[in-house]
Formats: sequence, structure tokens, C-alpha cells
Amino acid sequence: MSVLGGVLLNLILALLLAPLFEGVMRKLKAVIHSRKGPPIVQPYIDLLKLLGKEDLQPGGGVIFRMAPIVALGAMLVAAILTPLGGKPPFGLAGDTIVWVYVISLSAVAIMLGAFASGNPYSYAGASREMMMLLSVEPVVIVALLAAGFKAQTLSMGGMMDWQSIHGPTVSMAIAGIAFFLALQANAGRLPFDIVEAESEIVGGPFMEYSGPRLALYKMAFYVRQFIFSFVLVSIFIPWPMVKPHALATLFGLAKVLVILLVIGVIDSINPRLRIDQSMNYMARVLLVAFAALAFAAIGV
Amino acid sequence: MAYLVPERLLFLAFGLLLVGAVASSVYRKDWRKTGYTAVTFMAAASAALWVLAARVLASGAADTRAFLAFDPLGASLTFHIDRLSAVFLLVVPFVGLAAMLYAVEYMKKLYPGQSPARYYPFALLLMATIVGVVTTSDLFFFFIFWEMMTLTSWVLVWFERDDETKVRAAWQYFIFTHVASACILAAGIVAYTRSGSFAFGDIARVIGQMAQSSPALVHLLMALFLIGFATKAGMFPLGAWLPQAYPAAPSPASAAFAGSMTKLGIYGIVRVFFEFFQAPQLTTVWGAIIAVLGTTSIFVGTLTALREDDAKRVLSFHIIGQIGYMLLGIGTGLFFLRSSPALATVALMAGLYHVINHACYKSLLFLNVGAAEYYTRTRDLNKMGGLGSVMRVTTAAAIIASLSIAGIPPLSGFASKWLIYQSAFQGGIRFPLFLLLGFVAMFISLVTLASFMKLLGSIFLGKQAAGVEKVTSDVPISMRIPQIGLSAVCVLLGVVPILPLLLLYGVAREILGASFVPGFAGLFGSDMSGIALNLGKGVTGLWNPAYAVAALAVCVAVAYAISRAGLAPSRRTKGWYCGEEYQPEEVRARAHGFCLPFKNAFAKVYPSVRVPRINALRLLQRAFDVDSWLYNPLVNAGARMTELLSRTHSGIPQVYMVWQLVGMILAFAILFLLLRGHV
Repeated sequence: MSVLGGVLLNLILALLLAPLFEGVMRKLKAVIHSRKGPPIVQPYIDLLKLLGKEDLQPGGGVIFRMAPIVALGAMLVAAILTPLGGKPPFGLAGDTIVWVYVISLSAVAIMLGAFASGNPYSYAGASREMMMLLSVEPVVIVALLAAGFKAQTLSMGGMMDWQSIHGPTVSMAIAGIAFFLALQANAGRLPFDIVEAESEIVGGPFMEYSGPRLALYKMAFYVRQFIFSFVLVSIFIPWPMVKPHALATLFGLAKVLVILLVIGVIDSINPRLRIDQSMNYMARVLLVAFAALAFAAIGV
Repeated sequence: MAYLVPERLLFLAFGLLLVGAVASSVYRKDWRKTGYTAVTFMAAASAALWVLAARVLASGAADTRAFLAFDPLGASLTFHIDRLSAVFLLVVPFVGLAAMLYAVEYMKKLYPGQSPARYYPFALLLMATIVGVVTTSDLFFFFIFWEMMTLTSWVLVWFERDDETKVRAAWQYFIFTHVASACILAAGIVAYTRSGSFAFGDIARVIGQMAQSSPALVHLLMALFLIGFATKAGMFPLGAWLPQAYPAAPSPASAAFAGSMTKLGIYGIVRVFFEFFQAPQLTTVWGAIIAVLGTTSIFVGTLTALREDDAKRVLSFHIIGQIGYMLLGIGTGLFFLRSSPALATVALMAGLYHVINHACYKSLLFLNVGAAEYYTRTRDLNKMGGLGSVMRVTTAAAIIASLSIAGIPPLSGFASKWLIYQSAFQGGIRFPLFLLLGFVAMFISLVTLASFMKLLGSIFLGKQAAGVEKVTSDVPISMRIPQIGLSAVCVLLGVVPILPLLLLYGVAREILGASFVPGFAGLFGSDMSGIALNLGKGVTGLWNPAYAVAALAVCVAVAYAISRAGLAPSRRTKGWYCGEEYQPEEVRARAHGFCLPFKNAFAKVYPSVRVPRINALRLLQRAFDVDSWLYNPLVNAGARMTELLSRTHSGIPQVYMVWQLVGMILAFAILFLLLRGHV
């Protein structure tokens, strides 16, 4: 498949399918709550409706207006660096480290937008966003470093190939567990939806956003949980290997669905943690990730 | 152009800087006239130095004749301008010129009562001494330039003499750097006793011989050099003076220090460790030491910076952190000098790349903070806010600089940090310690981000604070131009990494030897738009900023298109504070609260050492008070010992029996061991 085709495929998958998973998770949550719940396509309806709503701008300023656009833009760049089924289509632009920092670019945009809004709640949300980044990203980095160490390369495609050829190893299983434990926070799900925390800080960084810009933030959020789940299934559990790209993508989507259902169950049955509790938890998960790295270093 | 031989260019630059120093001490009162005089001379000298650097880069190293030969001492003032010097000759005048131009309006407004003759001559002399340090090839004169650099910069730190804390900071700086210089001098003298000459070449040769005969002495030399240079660079724990001294100087001087003087510590380390000590069996261990100290510096310096609320102190602590990145790269290079030439080359280049980048964005940040101080007259992050709505250029420059230092793609800091991470990762594959170092570097990169989000959020974004003077416009044009220039370079160095890499590849070839260093296309790929890192086992890392920027542009355009798809109308409103906003200042979020739980989790990471004041009379009194230092401690220790012993007397027979049993087993074991050979 040509680079351009792959890029387009990834963009379309990320933009069009990511909200679907959100819909499924909402439905799941409703089932657990013994409610009827919204239809599965509700996120699409929400997004479409938001795109036409009035765009209120209390912050004014270029930064306030640009923030959601850059946040989604960076997330889409991350999407084309992510292996969604096949190898990352735009892997020649950057490896795993680039992937990690492009995702932090998205967080940077969210924080700058929050500061620019001038709202103290948004400021508190930005502060939390930064702390979540500080506590969750190290886990992601160490887990991916362990995978890179095994594969002796930091390109995502190379890591994926090594893993699917060499089969499960102790270190990669542990790294996968650590990545999964961090995924709950990366997907912004309870008990880690501390950044928005509607009942405490009224949506945090997104408080002053409305209409199409809020829609962009929501999109970025869906894409984020989509690509993080895909990294988990592509790099840590890539089996069984299937050859045609389309079939591999379908397989990947099925696995992502399973992962997100587990995430959804955890989301439904947990209360929100405080930020310090969350950091303590992530510090322990980081130890797990380091254990994976240590196992990788001794060669198992 | 035959007239412009390197020697003449160098002396032209020296001459211009010295004449400029004299000329700028003439106008006693007029800040602006003096300033523009200094800028003119600085610009002319910079032009000469750039031409010189370009010539060296194009046609190889250049030597000058020997001047001021001290034959009985074996020292003479010779200059050897090679590619490493040329890199510094490109960067240092650029940063110096930007800071000088910036100073014109800044100093005029902030220090109207002072004499310009106390600033500009010394700023120009500082540049002259820095040029001397990076070009001379004689250790004796290197030391003289080094000392003159310290002294001129000390005068600048000491600029505000009526401020008690700043004077104290200046003295601390003076003492610290002179102890460090003494280490360099001591190492130089030890080397001199063996070689009989101070020329770099002779010293390198003698040390090569000593590596065989007396390795312990060579290790001592390396330790002395490292202490000397690392103190100047600000490496933890030797950089304690830095966060006191740099904020004490006026902002343009801080910017010049950060962009040029601090980097000379790194220059010294590279010069000494890669050129003097060409015995890889000795450098391996020092590579590990430098890398570990560098990583400690990254960790401690940056986490402390996050705790600071004074803008310039934040930046100063970040120097300690950023120096760590450079040392990590250079240390990795030294460590793998023997085992993997490709990795050593890449790591050394990564460290030097970070030197260039840091020079640009850190001086830019000092200029940004100075611009905020220009109107508000404060550096306290808790008191500022919202300058972005009026200071647009400054804010844009500050965002570029902040994202650069935080290593956010596609800006300059990311490119060099990416190379450092890659070298650490590749080092980790061969020796797992480096994986840990690489992880710390990546993690702390996020802490850097946190710190600069705080800085941006509290100075430039949000609403204007009420406590300070109302700001209505951006800084004057002569203060904006340096910021625009430096931020353009920050973007350029990040988006086109191949330019600095080609430059540094020449440096690496020169330092490590042309036969040692693998081909450029083999290391970084043949695609000139980006880096495809290949250390001999296939491509293991990719960063192509051209593609990434194009992708980002397209994706941002897609996002923009989505946001406009519904043709939603927009309207300016007031913010919503969950009710009426009674007092805007009361509900303002302060910088101190940013990431507070995280800061508390890493409290006291920087050990603050209180230097005791020696009071002779008190000491004498204490000496005669034998009770307090001899008798009482002894008695207390005895009492504690008996207390411990008494705990074994529990009064329970079974416990005594266990003791007896244990004792018996021990006794038998000892007997058995003693008599093993005899029975």
C-alpha cells in the first residue's frame, strides 16, 4: 500500500471510527447502570450538533482559538504515526519518541488554550493535565522502551514486527500490563478523568469552550483513546498475524473493541481518584514497567 | 579575499571589541548613544568572526603565529581555530549581538541612574575573552582568558551594587568560579611539569605517554579538569552559584551568559576529554561518570526549577538541567569511544547540537522574561499575568522558546534531545545503565514542559494582573528584533536538523579522526530532509521534520476545516466563573499552585547547603567548653549503649536459652573454622 493511501486510511479510521467506540462505551455504561442509554451513534450526533452551535469566545486571542485546532491536528499526526492494523503508514516521519512527543504537543495545546481563557477552573484543569502527563507518560515511555529494547529499534513498525515474529516473552507481557494500566488514564476514563472532573472543576481546560471548538476537543479525546488502544494491541499483543492489510485492520479493531470494553467496565464501577492518589498509583505502575525493562535487560 | 586571512580576522575582531569597550566608556550619561556604539562595534566584530568561522568551516583549521612567547615558561599566545572553535564563533557572537541590541532600550529604562560605562565595556570585553577562550591553543593563555572572562562577567553580575543579596550572589560567584579555575590551573601545572610546554598539542602527547606509565595521575588530571569546567557549566552539585548569580545580572547580561559563557564549560570538557585524553581505556570510566553526573544534573536542576517562582531563577535552574543533557550526550560519546565508533560520534554530536540549541533558546527566554520585567518591574510569576494580549511578538517568541526547551517537535530542542535519547537508547542496548539515563532524560523533558507551561501561563496568558503597572504595548522595536531573530533560529535549527548536523559532523571528524567516524549518509541516512539513524544495524530511529511539519500542517488544516464545517457563528463573551466574579484578583490562579501536588512529591530534591559563617571567638569558646563536645557526647553514647544492652534482658527464660543456643552454635562454628586444618 502506498504511503498516501495508508495515511488517508489512518486518518479516516481515526476520524470516523473513534466516536463509534465512544458510543459503544456509553451504551455499556448504561447497561451496567441498568439504563436504556443513548444510541451507539450518539457521539456522532453530538459532534454534528456542536459543529453548528454558536462559538463563544471569552478568551479571545489567537492562542485560545488555535488551541483546539492544534490539539486535534497533533492527535491526527499521532494517528498516522500509529500502527492501525498494518505498519504505521507515515513511519518515515518519526519513530516512537516522536509519537510520544507529538501526543504531548496535543496536551500543550490544551494547556495553552486553558491558560488563554483566563478562567481559574481552566487553570486548575491545565495544572491537572500537566500532572497526568507527568505521571502517565513515563509509564508509556518505559513500556515502549522495553519493547524497543527487545526489538533493538525504536521504529514502531520494527517493534511490531519483532513482537509478532518472536512471540510472547515475559518482559513484553509485563510491559503490556503496565501499558494497559496506564491506558485507563490515557483514555481519560474514570478513575482518571481528573483533568475534566465535571463535578469538581466544571470541565477544567474545556470549560470555556463551546460549539465547534468543543467538538474538536471531543474529537481529539476520542482519537486519543483510539490510538492508544491500537498501540497496545499492535505492539504488545499483535497475534495472530494476518496478512492482508484490511483483514489485519479488522482484527485490530476487534481487539481494540475488547480492550475498550474492559476499560469501559472499569470506568463504570470506579469513583474518581484525587490527583495525588492517581500519581501514587502511576508511580507503582511505573515500577511494573521498570520490572519489564529489567526483564528485557536480562533477556527474557 | 586573500587579504582576510584567519589571523587578521581574529585580530580585527579583538581590536573592534577592545576599541568598542573604550569607546563605549566615553559617553558617561547617555545610555542610548553608548548602547548603539557598543552594538555597532559588536556587529562589526561579529561579522569578522562569522567570516572567520565560515573560512575555517570551508577550508579547515587555521593557525596563527605565536605572540608574546614566554620562553622560560614554554608558553606563547597561539591561536588555533578549528571546527569546534568555529561552531562557537558562529553561536557566541550571534547571541552576544542579540543581547547587546536588546540591552540598549532595556538598560536605559531600568537603570537610568547608573552609568553605562559600567555595563557596555564589560559586555564587550566578555565577548573578547570568550573569543579568546575558544580560539587559543595554549593552556597558559587559555587560563588567562578564562580568568578574564570570569572577572568581566563578575563585574556584570555585580552591576546592582546597592542590593545586598545581589552583591552576596556576586561574591559567591567569584569564590566558586575561582576555586574551579584553581583546579584547571593545578591540572595545567601538573601537565606542564611533564611536558615543559603549555601548548595543547604537547600536553596531549605527554598525557598519552602518561596513560601508560602513571594512569592514576591521568585520572587525577581528568578529575581536576572536570571539576573546573563543570563548575563553570553549572553542573550539579558544582553549579550552586549559578541560580544566585545569573538572576542578579541585568537580563541582557544573563542572556549573554546563558548563551555563551555557560557553554564554555562544555567546550572545555570536549576539548580536554576528547583531545587531551586519547587513551580510550581511561576515558570509558569518565564517560560513565560524566553521563551519570549529567543525568543527576538533569533530574535535580529541572525539578528544582519547577519549584521556583522567580522567573529568572526558574531559567537559571533550567541551565543546570539543560547542561545535564549536553553532558549526557558527551558522556555517552566518551563511554562508547572504544566499543562503538558510530554511537560515540552520534552521542558527541547530539551533545554539541544541544549546546547550540540551548544557547539560542535559553538566551531568548532570558530576553522574554526581561521584556516582561521591562514594564512590570517584577520577576515574581505570582504577580504577573496576561501580557500576551498586548505583547504579541514577545509572547510568540516566548512560546517558541518554551516549546523548544521542553523538547516539543518540531522545534530545535526536540531535535537535539531526540538524538540524545537515541544515543542513550542505543547505549542502553549495549550497557543497560544508559536506558535508565535515557528514561530520566525523557521524563525530565516533561518536567521542563511543566515548568515552562507555568511560566507561559503566568506571565503571558490569561488576564492582566492588577498588582503591577498596566502594560499597554509591546517592548520597543530594538528589543523585539533580537527576540524575532533568536526564535527564527530556534525554528530553523529544529526544522532543518541536517544543517547543524553537517556542521557538527565536521567537528566530530576533526575531534575523533576521519578514519574513526563512519560516513555521514551511513549514520543519518541520505535523505537530507530528516534523520534516519543507523548505527550499523539498520535504521533504528527516524525523525523527519520536513514530513512531520507537512503532516502537521495538513492535519491542522483538516481540523480547521472540520471546525468551520457547520459555519457556526462566533461571539465574544465574558468568562464564566460559576457565578458572579466578585474580585478578579481574588480568584486569579497563581503560578505557585501549578502542579503543586507533583512539586510536593519531589520536595527538597535540591540539597541546599548553608555555608557556615566562621566566628573565631565563638569557636574558641566552644573549644574550651569540653563538656559540650567531649564529656556529654561520651556519657550519652555510653548510656545509649547500656540501654541497648538492657533490652536483651527480657526476663523470659526461653529467650535466654535461645541466646545460649545461638552463642553455642557460634562458638562451635568458630572452633570448627579454627581447627579445620588440625583435626
